[in-house]
Amino acid sequence: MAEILILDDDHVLTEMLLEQLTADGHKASAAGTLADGLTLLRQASFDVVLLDVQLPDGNGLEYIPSITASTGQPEVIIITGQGDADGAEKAVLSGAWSYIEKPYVIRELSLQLSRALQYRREKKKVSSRPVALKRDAIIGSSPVIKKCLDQVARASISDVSVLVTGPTGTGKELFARAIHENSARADKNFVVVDCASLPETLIESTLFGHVKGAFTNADSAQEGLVKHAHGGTLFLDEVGELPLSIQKTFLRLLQEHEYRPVGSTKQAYSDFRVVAATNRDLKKCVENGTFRSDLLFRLQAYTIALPALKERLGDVRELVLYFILRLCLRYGLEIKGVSADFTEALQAYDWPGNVRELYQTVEQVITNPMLGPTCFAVHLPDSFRVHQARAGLSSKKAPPKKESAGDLPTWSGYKKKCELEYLGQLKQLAGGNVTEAARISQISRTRLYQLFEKYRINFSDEVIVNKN
Amino acid sequence: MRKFFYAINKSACGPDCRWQICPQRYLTRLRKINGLQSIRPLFGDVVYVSPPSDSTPRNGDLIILYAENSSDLDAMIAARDNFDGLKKILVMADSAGVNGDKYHMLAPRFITQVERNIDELEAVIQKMNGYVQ
Repeated sequence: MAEILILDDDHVLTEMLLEQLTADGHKASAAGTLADGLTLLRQASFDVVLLDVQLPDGNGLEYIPSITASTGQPEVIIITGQGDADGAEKAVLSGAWSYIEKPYVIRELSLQLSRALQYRREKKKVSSRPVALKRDAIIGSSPVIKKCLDQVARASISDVSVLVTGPTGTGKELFARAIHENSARADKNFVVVDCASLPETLIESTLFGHVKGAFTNADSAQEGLVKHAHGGTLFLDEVGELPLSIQKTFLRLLQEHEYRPVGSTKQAYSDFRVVAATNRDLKKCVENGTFRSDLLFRLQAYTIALPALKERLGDVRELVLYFILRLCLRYGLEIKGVSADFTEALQAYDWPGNVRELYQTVEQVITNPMLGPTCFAVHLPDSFRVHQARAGLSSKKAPPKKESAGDLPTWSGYKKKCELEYLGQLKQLAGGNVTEAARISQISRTRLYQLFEKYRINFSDEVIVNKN
Repeated sequence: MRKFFYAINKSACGPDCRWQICPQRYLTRLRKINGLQSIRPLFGDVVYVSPPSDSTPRNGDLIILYAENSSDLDAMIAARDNFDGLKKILVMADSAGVNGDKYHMLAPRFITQVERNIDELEAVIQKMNGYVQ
């Protein structure tokens, strides 16, 4: 039984709907104007609002945000006599669940209503029940990652579609897999559809399979990924890369769960749950016309936005220790220790490539044949150390704001100070080795010796600074 | 993105030679694909060697796993941790392997059969290359 509000000024239709909904076991109320409807929404909690577009005191579509934000956060189904594609699009973009034309409302309402109520039950489950979580490969204990894990736990207890977003390398597939492994579908397949790798010509046969002789070279029948996902999870990786021409096929699949293998005349059904991932801002893609708004609506019933690594630098040490353990086991190496300067150097970086870049950096350290039992900052890849050195310099070089002319050093004095700081860091990074210093700094050995002479620096021993 | 080819057996030579599905034969076909001329082959039980070298696959690399039969596939599934972080394409020599669903434990980005038109595989690899670059 659901609480339903009919907001329509057509009294005859309203009476018919009240009768039908009551007969179906729902509790239904009605209002003929937006003002009366909004008053009712403030006074009571509704599950669904059946909303007319043209009302005596305004356009219903413009009030959808107010309606969905009311006490019960109801789903909105638009009912209108003016059926047109633009109106339907506007309704969906405004946050309506669906759009029914009045001539068909009696016939279609029951199905639309049951779908909306099922979606609502799933949504409520997801947003209200905290559960324990298996999180084997998801490392970290920062507040932002804990929040994401909590969302994974909530998503796992339902079948609602989940969209995992986040920059490249944040672990979207790992989180998608965690949702699957914590769900009731865990003993079935987790099927990956790599939307960025599949050429348009292969998408249908890969997803739906094909029968023998369906096309040239189809010497035998092949099952598709959708069939393999039956009972399990269909993971649409990089869903933002799907060509627009194929998105309609996906939309139909997500709505109906029915498909037809290429060359077959029979429809088949698959009970799969969808988890999608993307590093794109799909709302912007919708605005740009490269992604269908109705597909986005289907995918993002529940969204988990993963943080960039720079937003959880506190997790770096835990991640590094985990990666080192895994890599050492993989390569059959003794487990390496980690020095404080190693993690400090890693935590001082902003990681544009996120956790994947951190893993690759640690992998380069572990595969360095000169690595001893402990990882020090000096073992980090040269490119990383040079970047750090440059970043350190540029942050120190930034001129202080609002200084008077008397506070500003002379050009030669400023240059001298910077060169001294650079050489000091270079010495530290190169461990006193001039050849290494020349390689890191891209300065010739001759020029380096000139600089050492100029500042009276004993490069391989200690720095004697000439203050003049 | 570096590219690797991995099969349990180096070749199917011997008294029971089945040259149609020989890993070496498929590797030769792969090497004719634009961008795969220098694909690095790996054979045997061990994908990773110690000490690691440039010929060892690393995070983000592409590996084409070639399974002659279901026991090869089982062995790869058992060792799937070794393929973590790699983009995997699975090539099965028999259609039964493609129609079974256990290969999803490897989470391949694409699966194909030896007999299928290799242009399909080429198109997938080119698209992967384009996306990575």
